[in-house]
Amino acid sequence: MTTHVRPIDRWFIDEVLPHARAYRRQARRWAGSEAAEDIVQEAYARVIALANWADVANPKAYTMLAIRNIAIDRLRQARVIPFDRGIDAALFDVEDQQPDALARITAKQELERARAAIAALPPQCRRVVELRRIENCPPREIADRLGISVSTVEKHLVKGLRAVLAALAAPADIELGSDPPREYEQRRASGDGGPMAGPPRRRNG
Amino acid sequence: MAVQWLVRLDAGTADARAFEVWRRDPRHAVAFAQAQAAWERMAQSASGTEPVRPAAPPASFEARPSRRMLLRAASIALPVLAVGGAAAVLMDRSTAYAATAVGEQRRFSPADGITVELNTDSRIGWRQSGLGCELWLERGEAALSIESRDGAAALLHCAGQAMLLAPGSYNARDDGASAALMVIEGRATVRGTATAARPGEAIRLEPGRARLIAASPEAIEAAAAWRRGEIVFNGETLGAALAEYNRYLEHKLVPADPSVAALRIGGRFETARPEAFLGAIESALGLEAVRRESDVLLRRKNLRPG
Repeated sequence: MTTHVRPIDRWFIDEVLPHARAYRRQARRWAGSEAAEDIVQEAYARVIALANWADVANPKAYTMLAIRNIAIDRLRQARVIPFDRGIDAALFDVEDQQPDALARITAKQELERARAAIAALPPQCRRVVELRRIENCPPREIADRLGISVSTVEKHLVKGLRAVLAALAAPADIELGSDPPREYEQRRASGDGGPMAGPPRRRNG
Repeated sequence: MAVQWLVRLDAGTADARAFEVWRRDPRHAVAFAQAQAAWERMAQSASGTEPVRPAAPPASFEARPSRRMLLRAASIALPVLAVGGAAAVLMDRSTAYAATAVGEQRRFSPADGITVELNTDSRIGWRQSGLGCELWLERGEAALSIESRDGAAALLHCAGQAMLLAPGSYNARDDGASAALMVIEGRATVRGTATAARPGEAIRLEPGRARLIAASPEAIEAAAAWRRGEIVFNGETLGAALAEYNRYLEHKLVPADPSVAALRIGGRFETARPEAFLGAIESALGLEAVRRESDVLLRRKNLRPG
């Protein structure tokens, strides 16, 4: 598997993706919740296409900048420039935040969500997922020993991975271009008050 | 798409070139990286648990408390580091053992659909996991019968090799010097290889090596005979025959000299009646048995001179 994870993917997964919540929150502030997810995905696409990714000193700040630029472009295209959203001011937030603390909380919550999503899978699907991802049993062996075909093993894994992806992020992370369901946005807006509320805004200069 | 690509790449069923073409689109690359991140979270969701896949059961069960008794250590848990909520997703890892004393045979069922007949002086361990039954033949000989409604296989470890056993019947033997698994019915596949034995074939097991061989008619007959309490010789040397019969004997039969060991023997004998076997040898081969403290010496009868 690791052969398909290029160095840039590793960097993207380890340095860029852990701050997904911060990106989304910031994108919502800049462009509204309707457009936020799409803007984040577009920023991701720009970041993962970088040739000189290794030179990026602060991947999180870089991604935030990309989100900001995309947000500004869209606002210009829409000929509406609501400066009251405080785009320039918000840019400084990137530096002010405590990225590590936020990312740690996110990682912990993600593990909880992944665990819950796996636990909620149908029994055979869950069994296959646990055997592959926790017991590290090769797909061929799972197939042989459960008396099912490799393609059935794959189907279970696809189903399980989709469930975990959906649990980890807004569905827009999975199917590009689709709108995040309201329900999820509301849950996140209301449910993650405490640690997710973000640091107090500070104006530098 | 990203999820399917990832799962198929993981299973080795994807066209890697087509995947790279697909991934050229940065949005696809992002989706793939996100799927990969979730895939990694799945493995971490049982945080602190390393995959526990021992090649052999723990060696801590050295004592053979009571002979002539089926030993079943109910729940010798393998060391598992379970942290937090990880325990909920772990399989049952308890390992049990059964052993037979010299001359003893046992038949039992370690798991649903699996029957084990354990020959003399043998020991086998087993464990149930989410994958079904996993067995370790530590020494001796076992006949395994595997039935399962859904076609699930069992995993047998023997002489350092792991083999997947499809529903069927098998004979596994490891006498220290050599080891082999014979397929009577079903199909045995050496894990991680294409080496697979069909009925009438056997897998010769050597450290780091597994070789497919044809099972001789004698070997096939012998595998069936011991389960009836019989042992069959077809012109083997007495040395080889005694070694075989001695597996069932506390007091071993020892040829007095190489010329005695080179004699040939044929016939069907009962493993539980050594006296009858001894009597047959004495009369057929002109030998006499001399009982000594810890074994029985077989020598040519002293013909009175003149």
